[in-house]
Amino acid sequence: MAAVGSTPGGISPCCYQHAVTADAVFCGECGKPLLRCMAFQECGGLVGDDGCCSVCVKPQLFLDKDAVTEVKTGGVLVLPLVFYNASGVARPLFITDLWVREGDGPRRRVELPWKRLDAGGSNRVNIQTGALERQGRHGIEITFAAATNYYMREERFAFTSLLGLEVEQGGSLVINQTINTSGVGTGADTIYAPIRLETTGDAAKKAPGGKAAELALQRADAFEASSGVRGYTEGPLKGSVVGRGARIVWKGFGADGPAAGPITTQDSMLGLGRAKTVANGGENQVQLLVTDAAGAVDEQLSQAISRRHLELFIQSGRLSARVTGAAGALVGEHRHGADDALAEIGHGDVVKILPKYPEALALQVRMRAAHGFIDEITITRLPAIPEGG
Amino acid sequence: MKTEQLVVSDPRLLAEFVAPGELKTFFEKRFEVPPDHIGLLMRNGQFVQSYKGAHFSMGGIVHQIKGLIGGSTSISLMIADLKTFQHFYDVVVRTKDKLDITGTVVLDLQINPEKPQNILGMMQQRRSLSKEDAALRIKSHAWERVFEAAVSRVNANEVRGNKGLQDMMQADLMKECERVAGDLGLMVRAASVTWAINEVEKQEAIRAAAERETSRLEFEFTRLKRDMEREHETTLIKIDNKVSLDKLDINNEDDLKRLVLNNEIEFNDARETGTRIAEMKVLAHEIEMLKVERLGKFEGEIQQATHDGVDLKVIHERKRLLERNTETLDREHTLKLRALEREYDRETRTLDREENRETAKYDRDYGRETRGLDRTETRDNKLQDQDDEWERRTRELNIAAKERDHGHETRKREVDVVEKEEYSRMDREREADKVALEKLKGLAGLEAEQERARLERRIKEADATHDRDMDVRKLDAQREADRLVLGAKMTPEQILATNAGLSPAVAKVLEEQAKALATDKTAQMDLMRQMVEQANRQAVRSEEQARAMFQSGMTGAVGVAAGAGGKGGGNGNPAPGEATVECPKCTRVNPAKAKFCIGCGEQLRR
Repeated sequence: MAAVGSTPGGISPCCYQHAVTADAVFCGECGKPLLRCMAFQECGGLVGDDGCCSVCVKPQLFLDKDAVTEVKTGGVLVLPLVFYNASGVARPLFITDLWVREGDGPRRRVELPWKRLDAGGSNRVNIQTGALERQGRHGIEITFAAATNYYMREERFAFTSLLGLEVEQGGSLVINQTINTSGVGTGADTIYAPIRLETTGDAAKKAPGGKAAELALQRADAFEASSGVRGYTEGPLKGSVVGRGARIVWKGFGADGPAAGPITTQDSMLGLGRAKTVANGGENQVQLLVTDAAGAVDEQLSQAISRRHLELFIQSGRLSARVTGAAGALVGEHRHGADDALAEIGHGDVVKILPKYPEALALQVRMRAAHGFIDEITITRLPAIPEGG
Repeated sequence: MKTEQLVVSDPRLLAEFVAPGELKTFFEKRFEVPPDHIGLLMRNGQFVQSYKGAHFSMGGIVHQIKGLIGGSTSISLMIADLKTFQHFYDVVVRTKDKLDITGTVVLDLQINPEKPQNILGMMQQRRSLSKEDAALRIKSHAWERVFEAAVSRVNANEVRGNKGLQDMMQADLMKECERVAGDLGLMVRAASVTWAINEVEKQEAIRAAAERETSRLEFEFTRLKRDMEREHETTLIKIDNKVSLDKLDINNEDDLKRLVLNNEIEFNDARETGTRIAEMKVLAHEIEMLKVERLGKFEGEIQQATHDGVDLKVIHERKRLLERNTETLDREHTLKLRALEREYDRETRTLDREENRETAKYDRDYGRETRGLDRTETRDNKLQDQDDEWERRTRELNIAAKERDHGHETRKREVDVVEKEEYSRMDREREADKVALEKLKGLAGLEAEQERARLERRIKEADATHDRDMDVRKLDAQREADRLVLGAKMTPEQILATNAGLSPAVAKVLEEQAKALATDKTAQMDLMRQMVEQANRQAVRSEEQARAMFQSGMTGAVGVAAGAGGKGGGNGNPAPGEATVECPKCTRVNPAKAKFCIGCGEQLRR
């Protein structure tokens, strides 16, 4: 049960009130940082550390009516599923992947003929189980990945639902579902969603009407990390996920460097470039200028940096960048520019702002992970500006 | 010299005396008592010493001479076995559930090495003591006191493997043996009872065997049943009928066979083709049986009918003749009908052709004439229409011109009439007003003059009063201005004294004001001191921060009041007129009720 006065995702109503102020960074009531959804302009939603906007991402899964017609031991079962997008702000969802797992067996990927799911719309798909060789209880796990897009950005999440199929003697099929959401979301909830589909008797066969039964969904956070839906899939931090509220620490930017903290801008992006910072009347959060060893600005080289050269944001549990500068940028050994703007930044990567002058200005990224969760990202400017400069 | 080993002569003996002849020899003899035996030396009827593993010599000429000189002594030697020996005997005891059970008692006994001489007490004669005799001394005493007493506490099915029972019996047996034979140099090393199978255990064994057998049978039954169920469940036969229900009411094997052959019954097999083939064979067999039965039945009926004198062939021939006649008649009737139809069709077609031909000829003539007339008529009509159209347009133009002229005249007349009516109405009103004015002047002229004079007088009085008030106020203002000009050059004390000199009440008021001011300053100083202390506690170093905290604390109270009053906007921005507080860290202006700065997250108040 959700705590009184809180909304899904553990976000207090006071945060929503203060998030209306365009330049508000913290909630004036509870002091928490305001982590806005990437599509805040459309949805006005806030996100928690998991990055899931409860306004944009609201999928529902139903077991369609007339789900079971006839099955006996040794036969197969076809489950007609209905995906529904319950978003109230006309934000489409994209169901990118679907997996089915029976018992302790491996997950089996199911090809989907469709992908887009508009708000208020529904799509159907049939899932066929393997041969039910024995009587008794059969567990079926349905997992799917849902994505929400906003311009060039995309957030992906995985949801799962557990079904228990009980095949009784004589062909009676009972589907029971019990979901325990202990430790997920706002509290230790236990949801019992029993669905009983009796196939014995003439009444059940002759009266195929009824309503579709909703299946309880649960965030599959462990699956997200292990399957690469979220987080890093390679490197030293393989399987780790960057929290949306991860603290970004800036080093080597001198005394007037940006303050450490999570990304709290209205578009949930940090702009880096030659232009001034927002505090100084500009448009960036971090100003990038080439300096010499003494800290003096090299105006000629600085002119090569675009006014807004780089945009940093957290996407699907990974630190990402969009290179908007005309000169491009080197992320690791790969050059990103107009044709290949999006880049994924990992632990230890060095972002060289001017590929032609790689030593002029670079940003080294290091991450701190604990139990598969990255809560702090340190970005060090190379060369560093002296503190007094 | 050879050493002779002294042991008991019979393994069944526990102890025995060495014969005197063996000891009294002419030559000296050496004897040895092995370590598992003990030798008890007695001289002149007195026990001298016991030797375990001893070695001594006896006899010989030297001893003879010593005997002659010193006198002879009587020496005897008893050899006893120190090894533990076992004794078995059967016991029959009654259990708690009143069942006599049999057991074999095993006793491990041994001569007490501490006082082996007491074994003499168990010898009937001074010769030897057998192991059985020694054990039997205990048996009679232990039977009732140990075995019966212990077993009577448990049921017959509880004696086996009962370690507690065995321990209790061993302890009791040791205690009883110590009591009975402790002084006789015999001790119990261990005791246990091996129980024979009793009746209760036999019955339980039989029942357990029966249960095992039953379980096995049940398992076998379940397995067979499961096999049958699996066979049943894995084979799904679904009959989809594509024919009407009437056809499913199969009358004979031919219908069923036809249905099968026409695939009107589909066998949907869930798994195995073999099962379906078997089903097909069963169905075919049933069909064959039905066929044979029906043939036999028909033959029987034919035989019965023949036997009853009914010749079915004759009946059939008659019926066939009638059918042929009927068919012939039908055929003839059909042929006649067709001939009549052909004749009728031929006549009808001839008539139609003639009629069509005449009609076509008439149509052609009529068409030719009609087209000529039509052309002439069309030309005339066109000319006529042009004339009519010209006349119609001429008429319409005349009518329009007339209407235009007529409308112009009409509107002109209407305007003139209205203007004239208006002028006349205004003239009439003007005349009426003139008449009324003359009447008023005539009737109320005097009263109006009087009223006018009274009003002028009042106005003059009010002007005079106003001038006087203005003069007084001007004088007061001039006096106050002069006083302020003078006061600006005076010290506060002079002003206070001057004001106090004006009136004692003014002096009192000024005194109270001074006191209140002093009190406020004291309270303010206390508050400042508290805030500075609080700032120091919170490690706020700079004076600016302390002042900011003081300010935020002071304005925070105002903010609480404002929040309680329901003022302010719903979001972070302060509403117009709402109390605000400036963040001491980032100087952003926040609503006074905000606990945290929305710009930097700094805590503004607790």
